[in-house]
Amino acid sequence: MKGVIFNLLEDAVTIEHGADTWTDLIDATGIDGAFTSLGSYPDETLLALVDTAAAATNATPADVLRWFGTAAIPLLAERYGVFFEGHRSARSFILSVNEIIHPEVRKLYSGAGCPHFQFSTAPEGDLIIGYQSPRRLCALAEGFIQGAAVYFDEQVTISHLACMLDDSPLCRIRVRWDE
Amino acid sequence: MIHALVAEPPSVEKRLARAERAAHRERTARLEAERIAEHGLRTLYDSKQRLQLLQHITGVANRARTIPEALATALEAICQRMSWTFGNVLMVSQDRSTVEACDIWRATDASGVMAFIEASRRIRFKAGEGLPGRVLRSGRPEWIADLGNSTMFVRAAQASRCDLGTGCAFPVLAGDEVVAVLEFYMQQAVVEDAEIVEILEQAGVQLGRVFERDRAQRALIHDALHDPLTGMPNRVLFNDRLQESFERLAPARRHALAVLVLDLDGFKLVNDTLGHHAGDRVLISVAGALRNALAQLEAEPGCGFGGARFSSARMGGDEFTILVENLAGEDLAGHGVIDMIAGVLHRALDDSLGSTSESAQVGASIGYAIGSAAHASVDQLLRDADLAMYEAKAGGRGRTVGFTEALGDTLRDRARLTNELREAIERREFELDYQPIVTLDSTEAVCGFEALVRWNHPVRGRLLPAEFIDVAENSGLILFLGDWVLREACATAATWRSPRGQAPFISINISARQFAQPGFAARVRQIVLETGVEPTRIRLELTESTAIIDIDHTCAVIQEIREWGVQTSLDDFGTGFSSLSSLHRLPFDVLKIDRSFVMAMDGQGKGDGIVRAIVALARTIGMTIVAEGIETPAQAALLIELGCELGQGYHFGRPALASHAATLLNR
Repeated sequence: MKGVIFNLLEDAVTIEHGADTWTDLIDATGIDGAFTSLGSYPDETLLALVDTAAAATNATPADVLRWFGTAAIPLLAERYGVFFEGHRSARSFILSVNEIIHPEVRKLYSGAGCPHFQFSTAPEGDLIIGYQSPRRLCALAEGFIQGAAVYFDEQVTISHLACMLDDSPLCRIRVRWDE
Repeated sequence: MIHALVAEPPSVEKRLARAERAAHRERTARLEAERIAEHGLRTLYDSKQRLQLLQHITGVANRARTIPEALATALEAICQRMSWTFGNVLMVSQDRSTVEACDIWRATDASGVMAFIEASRRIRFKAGEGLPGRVLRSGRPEWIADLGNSTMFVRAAQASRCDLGTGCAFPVLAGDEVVAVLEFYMQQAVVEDAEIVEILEQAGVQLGRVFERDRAQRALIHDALHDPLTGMPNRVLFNDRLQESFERLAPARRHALAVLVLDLDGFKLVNDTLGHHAGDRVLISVAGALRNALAQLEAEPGCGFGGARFSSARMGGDEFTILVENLAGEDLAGHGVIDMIAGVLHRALDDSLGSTSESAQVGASIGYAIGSAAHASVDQLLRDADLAMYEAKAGGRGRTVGFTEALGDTLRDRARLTNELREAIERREFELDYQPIVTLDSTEAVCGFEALVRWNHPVRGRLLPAEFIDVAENSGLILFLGDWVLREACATAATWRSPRGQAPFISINISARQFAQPGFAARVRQIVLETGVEPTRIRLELTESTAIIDIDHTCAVIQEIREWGVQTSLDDFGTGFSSLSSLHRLPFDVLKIDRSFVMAMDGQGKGDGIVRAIVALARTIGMTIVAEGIETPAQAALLIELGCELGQGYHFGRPALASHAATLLNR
């Protein structure tokens, strides 16, 4: 996992719960907690932080990831504004992830294992997103989608039609825009 | 100051605040360092990608077998790696005045920009016009960041309908010359990026190498298929075209095809006397005359050649060929048409070559053959045309001969006879007859013999020289035959003894080729020594035409062999040029009056007068006279009266084998 994810998590936690909470989280997880955006760190470290936070807040790890994704979007917009500039809606922003955002990520972090999303539009206009990754971070993806909707001032309902966490071979996430 | 700061121990709150400020500074510095590093990484990544693209295009340029293949592959790579929505190839015209799209394009989303693709894939620009036209004129990349609003952009309306924002075009350069233009478009509005432009510029240079290679290849192929002197197609290309044309026609339709073989007359003389440069000028002028004449024939409609197509070639040396295709009409009509074409070519050459003194004597012999079902291959067709040309050449200068079956038969007979003759020489199928030569007086004493060759043909029986000497001369076999005759006659003569004094002389016919051999005199000497015949008994007979080919050589040889006592005789006098001046110069010992003059004598008229004049002439120069073909006592009597010294003919004795000749001596 790229260090920038840990940095975003730190920022999100710090903004919402204060700098001490982050240090507490680091200590409680039992890691050294020094992350630079350009470094790579074990996936387990992120999952351990998420688990610790979940246990402390009486939530599920998926809840924590969803919260983190949502909170990360405005931070990303601040840090990588160029990715948001050309878009006027969450849909177009989400659709640019494979072609624009991830190629840019790979420029910065060589060897970054970015997931590939399959997009399709259902007849009623829902966006169907296929996700498959050994990291099984579909909840984080949900959070990003939610965050994007908030960023573009839209209302969406996100649901899992199928989920790897339920032993499905891939996740199918439905995004429905509320009128 | 620092000392003052540390003098007072700080409170815990102050220390904490200070530590927090330090942590904040560290964090800010870390973020800044990360930003700088990220920028560096992104730039490095982009550079690497672009270099990889350039490397890829260099590879494409190295591997591509054709120009379209190279351009299409490069277009694909540039679109993909630089995220262009649409890429298009335009080729520069032959005269370099325009650049035109050639339907090689690539689009990531073809349906989205269809209107623009349709407007672009066949479009043509003059130099200086539109984006590609400006690249053609400047030879430099051009960039437009705001297509929809650009007045410089011809396809602005279509671009704006397809939401295209940025356009860029760069030249493909072969040396300094723009040979193609590649243009690219994308929807985003992107300002000119110097690094992208530079990479594209270099890609254009790499792709230019494919054009350069292609040109070099074409030049090589052209050189391999054309004669460098005249620029005409050469033998290889001609044979190729002929083969193709021949194969295209069903055997029954091959009379639509003809081959003319044109061989220059008098060319060798120009080369030998005026040098090779003059010869080259003649060849160039012939090529030009042929080209013009054929182009005019093709252009003239309905003059009997309607629809006929011509292609000419220089086969080598002074030989040219013309392939005639699409000959109209039925089988036999062709000869008339080709004769007319040949006539036009003869006139064209006369007009062109006659205009300068160095080429005025040059003309052409033309042979041709028209395709037929009988031709199993182009080689046979070419061979027939060649044979017809040789026939034309043999008949004198400036002639045209078309191959016919009859000519073919004659030539085939001749070829067969040549082969038989070759075998006959190996198998020694020849023998000599000897015809007595007598004194023209009352004694009619045999004083010599003329050796006459006979061929005991295994099938056709005994053949006289008239039936095979021509073939022997044309094939060069006369050298072997003549040598055999010389030796055989000398050997036989060496065995003759005359009971009444002087042994008889032997007259031996020498062919022109034999006489022209550099070692001829030495060969005569060798044979004389080997056979043991007395040299004074040998008379070598040369025809007048042989003697005057090279008078200096003739004189030299005659003088040389005369030193050993060998005599020479001028045969068939009166039938050739009979130049008195050359007769005077040539030191012959004997003059033979041709049988035609002897037969023309009637005891009163002009015929007698001519013989009398020849006798008087010979006497004046001091030559002995032999009259040939005496068949009657009256002819003999007349010749005696005219003062002729020796004679031969049926009246005195027919040619007979050596054994019979020996008995005549002993009579």
